[in-house]
Amino acid sequence: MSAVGDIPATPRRRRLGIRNAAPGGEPPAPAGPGGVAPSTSRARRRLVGRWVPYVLSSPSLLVLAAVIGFPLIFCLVISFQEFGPYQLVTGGPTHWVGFHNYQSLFTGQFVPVLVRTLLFLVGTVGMTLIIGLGMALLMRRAHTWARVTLTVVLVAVWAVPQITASQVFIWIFDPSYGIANWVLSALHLGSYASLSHEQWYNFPVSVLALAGTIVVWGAVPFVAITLFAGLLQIPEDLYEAARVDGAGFVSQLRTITLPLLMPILLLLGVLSTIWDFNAFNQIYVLQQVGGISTETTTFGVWAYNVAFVGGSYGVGGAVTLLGVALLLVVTGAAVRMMVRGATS
Amino acid sequence: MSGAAGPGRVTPDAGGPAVAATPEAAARVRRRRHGSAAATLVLVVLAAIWFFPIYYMLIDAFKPGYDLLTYPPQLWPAHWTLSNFQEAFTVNGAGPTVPQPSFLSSLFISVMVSLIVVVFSVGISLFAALATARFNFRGRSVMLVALLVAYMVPFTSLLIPIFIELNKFGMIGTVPALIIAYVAPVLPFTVWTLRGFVASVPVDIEEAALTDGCSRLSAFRKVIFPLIAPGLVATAIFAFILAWNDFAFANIILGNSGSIFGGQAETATVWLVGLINPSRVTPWGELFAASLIFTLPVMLFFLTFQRRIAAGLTAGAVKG
Amino acid sequence: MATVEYRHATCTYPGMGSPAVASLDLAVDDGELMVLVGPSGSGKSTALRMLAGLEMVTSGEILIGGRVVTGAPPKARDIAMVFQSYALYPHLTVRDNLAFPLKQKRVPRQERDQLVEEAARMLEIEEMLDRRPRQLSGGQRQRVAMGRAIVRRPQVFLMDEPLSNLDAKLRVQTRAEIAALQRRLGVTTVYVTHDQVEAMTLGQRVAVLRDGVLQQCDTPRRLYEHPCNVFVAGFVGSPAMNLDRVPFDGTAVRVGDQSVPVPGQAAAAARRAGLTEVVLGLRPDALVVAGDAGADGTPHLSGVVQLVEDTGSDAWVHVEIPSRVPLRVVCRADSRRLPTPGDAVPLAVRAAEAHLFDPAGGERLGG
Repeated sequence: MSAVGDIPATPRRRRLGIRNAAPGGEPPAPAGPGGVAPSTSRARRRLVGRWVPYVLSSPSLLVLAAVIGFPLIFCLVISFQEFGPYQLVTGGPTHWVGFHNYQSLFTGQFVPVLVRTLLFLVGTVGMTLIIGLGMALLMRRAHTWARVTLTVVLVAVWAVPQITASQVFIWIFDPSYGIANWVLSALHLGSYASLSHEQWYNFPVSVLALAGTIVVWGAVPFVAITLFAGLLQIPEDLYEAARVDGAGFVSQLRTITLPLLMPILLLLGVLSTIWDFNAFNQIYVLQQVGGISTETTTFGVWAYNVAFVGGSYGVGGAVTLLGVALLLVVTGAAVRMMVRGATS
Repeated sequence: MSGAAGPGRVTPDAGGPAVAATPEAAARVRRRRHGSAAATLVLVVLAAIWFFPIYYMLIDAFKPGYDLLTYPPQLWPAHWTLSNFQEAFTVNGAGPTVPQPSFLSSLFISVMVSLIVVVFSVGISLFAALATARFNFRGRSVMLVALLVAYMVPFTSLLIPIFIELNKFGMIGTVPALIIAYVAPVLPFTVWTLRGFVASVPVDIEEAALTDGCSRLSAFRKVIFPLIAPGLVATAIFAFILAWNDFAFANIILGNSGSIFGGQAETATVWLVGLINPSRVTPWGELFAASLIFTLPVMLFFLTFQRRIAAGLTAGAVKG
Repeated sequence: MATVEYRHATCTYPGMGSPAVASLDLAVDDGELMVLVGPSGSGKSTALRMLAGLEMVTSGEILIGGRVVTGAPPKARDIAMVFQSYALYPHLTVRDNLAFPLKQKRVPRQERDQLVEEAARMLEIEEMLDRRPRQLSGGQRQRVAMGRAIVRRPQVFLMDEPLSNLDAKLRVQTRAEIAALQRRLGVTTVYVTHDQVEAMTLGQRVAVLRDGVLQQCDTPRRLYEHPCNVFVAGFVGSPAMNLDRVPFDGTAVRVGDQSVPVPGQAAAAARRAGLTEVVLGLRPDALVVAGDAGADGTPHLSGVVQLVEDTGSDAWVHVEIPSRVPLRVVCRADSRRLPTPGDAVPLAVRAAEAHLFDPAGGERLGG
């Protein structure tokens, strides 16, 4: 015999019309006595004219098309043209050169720049995330006053413009009067005694390491603050349950903290990658001081130098597009997830 | 992404978006006043390391020149002076070979350009944010993807084509050209971030206003707008800083040929970079005095609004 | 004060096959408290939101006080709504929350203050007037939401699960207060809930919806005693009615090895339909664990106790009746003489209270 009268489940409705948001701040609705949860995915319907959203978004879309869409297409066009100072100044005729610009890149600096950029990215993004996560975890365990102190410091650091940060670090690592050399020689780590002249700006590795340090110094605050906010969202009872189950610090980190922070970590990873890929100011300013540029150039600086120093705008356009493509490859999977999250 | 992605989550009762976790979570952290001593020690050391460059800039701005060029360096100024600030404002950069525009006019250019960019971008993106957060329409997801891609396009990648385009119109070296160029990175950011803030206002509240006798427009004005106002301020500050901190565009598009008060002008970043010139000794004291003036207002804004700024940066990306 | 009427009101979301609310016909009397109840996805909230003007009516009409308001915006309907999340304005104090709808109506300041004070007194939230919503407990927020609805004396109150965010005890208490308040103000009220106990205790009439279709609209007593189909029978009442498909021989149904005569009207209807099987519905109240078998001549079933639920005032026993396919039923038991699991017990059937339903469509057989 079959029981009848049971309630068939209606398929969850898609959210439509006015977008719904999670009613944060309110306690979650308890399931009713019948075990039927109150419907939370109420469908919404537009109550104004169909044209309203288009009118609202059109100014932004038009401006974006003009200042981003069009330039990107234009960039694609000139990457297949010979476009130098002559064309720039006179507006004179441009020649189609096919893939010549790209070819010249691949036979030229492409591979060294690519390797350098990737290493720089791995180093800066990795260090930023590791230090940021470490700070966030420590903030959760430290005394309140220490946490507040660090937060204030981090926010202050976050607000320091990259140009200013670069200049301060240049001064700190000044070969003659820099405090870094003084500390290193005091600790007998440097190779010289007094007035040590560790020439940080003359070696590609130390220039890039210094640029990376400036980048990480400036990028850690946002990451640490965001991760700490994320940590606070993890319910304490999960940790209590884990402790009851006998989990130590490491296994709590592995089984609770990291999985629950993963969406934020992913987002921070993508944002950091985009920002560090664009690290221009730090490297550019260091190159001005040290005078070596070929061996310290990453993608962002390369396009700039090729176009505005070398005057080959077409080739610069090709570098730019390769850079965008590279960035999309590096962040592709993560970005797909972000897009899904935003459009679902 | 899941709702567990915390910083995006917003408690409407907190008077607007904030990084703040739930009150319970905050209370839990508060309850654990007896933090670990080891963690505290490490944190203090890290805070000291991170603060050091700011501290060094701060004290060096007040050291007279002869105290700057000493070895070993002074960790506490032996003499205090305000002359660096005086020089920054009066000596016009004091380049021996290239005469520079004055720091004051550079600051003015930076403030003006950044303000115009922010007002324009926030103004038009508020509407787009409303459309994408509160309406469902054909093409909405395409629009969101386009926005995200625009947000992700490297700032410097746009430099070359924008430069050439502006050059076609004969605008290179003018302030309006720089304003147009800055809209490119700022606008996707403001739309994306404001969208997150608008989406965080529960639809119920808007509907309550409608049943309480508001029209769609007055519901926006009286209920949604006050609730997103703090987010709006945070977005505006960050957008301001995107323009304020830029060097690459300012150097290429405006250079030092902007015109203000009849003389040459450039942005503050270009002015600051111009102080480090291989052909002469860098006037570090003057540089740090100017840097301090350049940095402090931003720092104060950040200290006031940091929670909302952090929320805004992640909000757009983690909220549906 | 006003009547509310749905006339063939339909709401179909774009891209969805079946309507969320299908051709709803429902009339609410002036001053009546009508409860819309149903499981999630039944369209009860959509129906309420159509009345509020928050949801577009695809076809049909909605009338408030005899006036067609189908296309009118919410503000033109003179209604007040209490939301499940309360939807208090977080940036306003309680006082300003209460005054908000009055400000929209441009009520002069003095009168406004007076009305706010009055509403606050009625709901005993006077001391909280200068606080913000986030400083209030859930129960207090609920009161403020109620206050915001009553302060402007609308023609109709709309309440969308106003109690579901409260804990169980507070919910019962507030339920009684809402009922008293509604009676005192005499304002027509449409109340949505998924909780059938809330619906039965609160509603003067209750409309049961399922998949966007109105099943039955009646007084709670009628719903309980004369459910119009299997769905309503199973949805109304706690514990739920025992509903089982059993053989029917023209006058009686066969349960286990016993023959149970059924009420004449129902039997006649089943005979007319030529059914050999029917769905038998027995409330747990109509199926009592008896002390001794066959004493008073009522038909008796026998079964084995599976589970005993003693709530103190009532005791419910889950009994398995051996049959080709064993039947599991819930019965009432005397809480002073509770059986234990594994006991074989006799069950007295109050056959006059049996309900019969058509196994094909689930429709009620007989009156």
